[in-house]
Amino acid sequence: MMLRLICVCLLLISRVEAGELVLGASKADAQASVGCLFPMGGRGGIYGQDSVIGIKLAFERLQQPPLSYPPIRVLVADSSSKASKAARQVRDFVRKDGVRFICGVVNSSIALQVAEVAEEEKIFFIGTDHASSKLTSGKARDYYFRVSNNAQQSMQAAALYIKKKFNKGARAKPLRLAYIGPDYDYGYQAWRDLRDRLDYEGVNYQVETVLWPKLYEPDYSSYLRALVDKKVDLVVNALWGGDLVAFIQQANQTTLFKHARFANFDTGGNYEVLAALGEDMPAGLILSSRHHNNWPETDYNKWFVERFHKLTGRYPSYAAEGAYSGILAISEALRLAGPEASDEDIREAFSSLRLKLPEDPDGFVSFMNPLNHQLQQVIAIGETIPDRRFLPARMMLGNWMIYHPNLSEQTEPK
Amino acid sequence: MNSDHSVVRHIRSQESETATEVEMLPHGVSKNRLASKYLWLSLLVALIPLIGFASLYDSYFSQLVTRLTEEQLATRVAATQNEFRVFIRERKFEIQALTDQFDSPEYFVPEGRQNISSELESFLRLQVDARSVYGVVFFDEKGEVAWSFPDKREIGLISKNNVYEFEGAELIGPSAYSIERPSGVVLRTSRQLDVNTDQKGSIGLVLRFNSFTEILRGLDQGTTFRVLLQAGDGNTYDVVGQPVNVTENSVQKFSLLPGWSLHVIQDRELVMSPVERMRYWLIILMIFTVAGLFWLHMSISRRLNRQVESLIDSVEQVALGNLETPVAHVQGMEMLRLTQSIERMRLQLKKFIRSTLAIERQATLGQLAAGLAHDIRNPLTTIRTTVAALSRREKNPENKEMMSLVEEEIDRVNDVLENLLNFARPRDPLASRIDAKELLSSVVALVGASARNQNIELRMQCPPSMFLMADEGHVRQVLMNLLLNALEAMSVQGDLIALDGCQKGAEIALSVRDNGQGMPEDILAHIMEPFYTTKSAGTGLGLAICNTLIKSNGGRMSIESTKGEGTTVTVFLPVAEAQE
Repeated sequence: MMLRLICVCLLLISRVEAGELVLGASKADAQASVGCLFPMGGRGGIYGQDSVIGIKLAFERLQQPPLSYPPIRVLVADSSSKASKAARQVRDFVRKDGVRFICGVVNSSIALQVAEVAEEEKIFFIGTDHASSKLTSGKARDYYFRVSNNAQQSMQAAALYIKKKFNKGARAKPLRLAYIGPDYDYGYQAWRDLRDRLDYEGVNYQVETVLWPKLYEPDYSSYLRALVDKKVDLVVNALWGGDLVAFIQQANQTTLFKHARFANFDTGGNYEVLAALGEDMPAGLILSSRHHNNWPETDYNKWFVERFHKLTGRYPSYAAEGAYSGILAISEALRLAGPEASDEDIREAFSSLRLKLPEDPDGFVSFMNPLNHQLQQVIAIGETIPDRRFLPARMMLGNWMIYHPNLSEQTEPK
Repeated sequence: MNSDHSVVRHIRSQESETATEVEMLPHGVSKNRLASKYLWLSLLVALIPLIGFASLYDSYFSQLVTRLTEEQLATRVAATQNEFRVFIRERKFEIQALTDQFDSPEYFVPEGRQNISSELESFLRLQVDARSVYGVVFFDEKGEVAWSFPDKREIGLISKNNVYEFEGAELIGPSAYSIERPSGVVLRTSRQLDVNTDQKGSIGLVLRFNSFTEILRGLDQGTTFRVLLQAGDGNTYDVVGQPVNVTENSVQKFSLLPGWSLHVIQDRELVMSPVERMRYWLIILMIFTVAGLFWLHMSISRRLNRQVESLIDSVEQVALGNLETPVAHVQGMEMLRLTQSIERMRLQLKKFIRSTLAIERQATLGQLAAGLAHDIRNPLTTIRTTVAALSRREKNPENKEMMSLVEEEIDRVNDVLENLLNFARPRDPLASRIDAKELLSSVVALVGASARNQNIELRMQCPPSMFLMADEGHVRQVLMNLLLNALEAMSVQGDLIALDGCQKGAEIALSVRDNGQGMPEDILAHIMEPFYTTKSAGTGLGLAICNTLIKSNGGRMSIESTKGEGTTVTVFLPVAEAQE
């Protein structure tokens, strides 16, 4: 198993560094090309590596009968979490490889610029892991669709969760809230979405402090001191990936988790975080993620998690399911509209997309909202509890609260 | 009797001489004791170096903390000032690089975005990849915003006020604090775009305000100093960009740029760093050590003085002749040994004085008895012979009766003289092997009639074949005396006299126990002394003679009595060796 894992990693790394990682059909056989942008190194490197495995699993899924999908070719490039590089790579994909679809992008700021370039180049950008709701708020963009939950959906569920767990009635004292999010568009948008939804749900709260560490901040001690100095009931954290891991590791050395409840409603429950922290992950943190390895306990999700584990020897982060969803969505749109379909037909196919995904509980199928081009999915929020089924993570989420999408509430909040 | 008094007076006079000698000792000695002197001296020897060392250490420590904090502050402030300016200069260089690329007036108009090539756009994207840069803003020749990159949101972060010059550039802002999103600061440089038309445009970088406050983190240790940034808008912010109201008085201000300054707060809470607190703990510890030593020395000194005082009192009592009061025991190994030795000395002295007094009293009584025997007995013999002759010739029965009475009284006086001589000069004992049971039986037989007359039961208990070694006459006399004493004592109360014989080790104990009226302790203490009696017609020699006789036979005698319950007199005599 380990030998296979090492071989796969070496293969991926060598090819990705050269910018030549190609998956799926050959150039001659492919009826469409997809350019994927992921960070393949540094703090966000695991997202890219998991996404590649997710794409492979998508191909496995597409080959299963009864439906037949047009063959596609997927090119994966390392964006290095740089907007300038990502924008250039998009243009290169179009000019050199003739791609019609861009997929991926983890960072919301980069996604904004990639979306602009995609719009200029008139190619479809299927967003996976970036979560700022900016690209799906207001009027729908012609060439942009997102196939995983955005921060607005996460915060809608978060507001309901807070209302249920923290809002003890209108006469109670206001919930004292602190927010710490990354200093870029995702952090701003998640914070705005949360406040909008709290207001919408009528939660009585007051903001004690708002902190904006930069992305990839190595030292959170000043921020932790500022949080501990404030009398707060709930700290909402919107850091993600390695930043969240570093924050929790450093917070473990302070009294923060005894001082106030801690929640990360969008990405905190990502398996990457749970695995990286291992024994250092405290119990009782309120977390969620776009995909969970232990929820829903459907055959489809078990197949996805176990198959990923079989291929790599480890369990997937949500990025794997994001990339998997992206490739399935593109293939489904091509199947529905046809490989030679016009942009309008493709857009139509995406707009009415219904896609059964591993994160869908029984009886639910993810569907695209044609008004904002945002896929609608069920959101599960849980608390960290001891669970050793998915080592090296020692804590997994449990005590679930489940929130189904409600399109009527997804109008612009006041 | 007079001789006894003279002996006592002699002893008393000796005691008073000793007391006078004690009173003649200098009184200062008792107030300034050696123990106190020693302890005070040792306390002084311990405290002087301790206080000296602590004072020097504290002085050094205090200066060290002050010097360190001041040096640290000065060094760090200088470094922070430099880092702050370097940060802005680096951004200036970046603007310079941009202005070198964007060298045409067409870029500095509202439609300028449409005029840039993809290469220039990539150049701009590269610029905004930096974590400290939110965006790039192009200003027209009037200084108004023409357009911004990557989108229009950056324009919202441009403040129109708070513009300060720094090395040929303008630092504008920060934008107003909001919980919506962090503030931005614009750094702008201008340049002439067209020599012919004198047209000017400028490029500004929208900088992350928190990148400015983060520079102060190296100075903000949270323990020694708290550092705030007073920005161009006049407000103060902490290192994570939160606005802070400064109310503390102890604020040191250091200029960073025109309109921007660094505030260092050293309030009492912050100055009391762990190192500083440790210094005060050391001082408190030193004070407690001094107090502890002082208390320990005082405690030991008082205890030692108390023990020595008690000892001196006891010895002085002995010196004053009070041999009855035991020496008070004091704790502590050496002191206890000393006390026990003095107590042994007191007991031996008491025994010695008593035996000396007894010998002197015996000798005096011997001389007295001999004198009496010589001076009284011979005339009495003559008187008795004469009275007997007169009585025989007397016809008058009344006179004859009176003469008979005189003879009887003369006989009684003779008996007293005999007793006196027996006490003073008893004959030497002729020890023989005596069967204890037979001895007791014969005595009971002699006294039995008298007992029955007094309705007193006389019991005897003694195992057979138990032999003692003594003068039989002496022992018989003693037992008879004791039995008659008991019968007399039971005239008021009591109805039983018990004679018991038993062997106790190498001694035979013969006891006479009655349940008569008993004796109080004060009488018991003197009952063995000669001439001490509680009877109106007694001589006070009975028990004294018994004691003398028993001692002369190598034995001893003890008396136990309880008032109202009875008396037991026990005679201990050596066991006779077995016959071969």
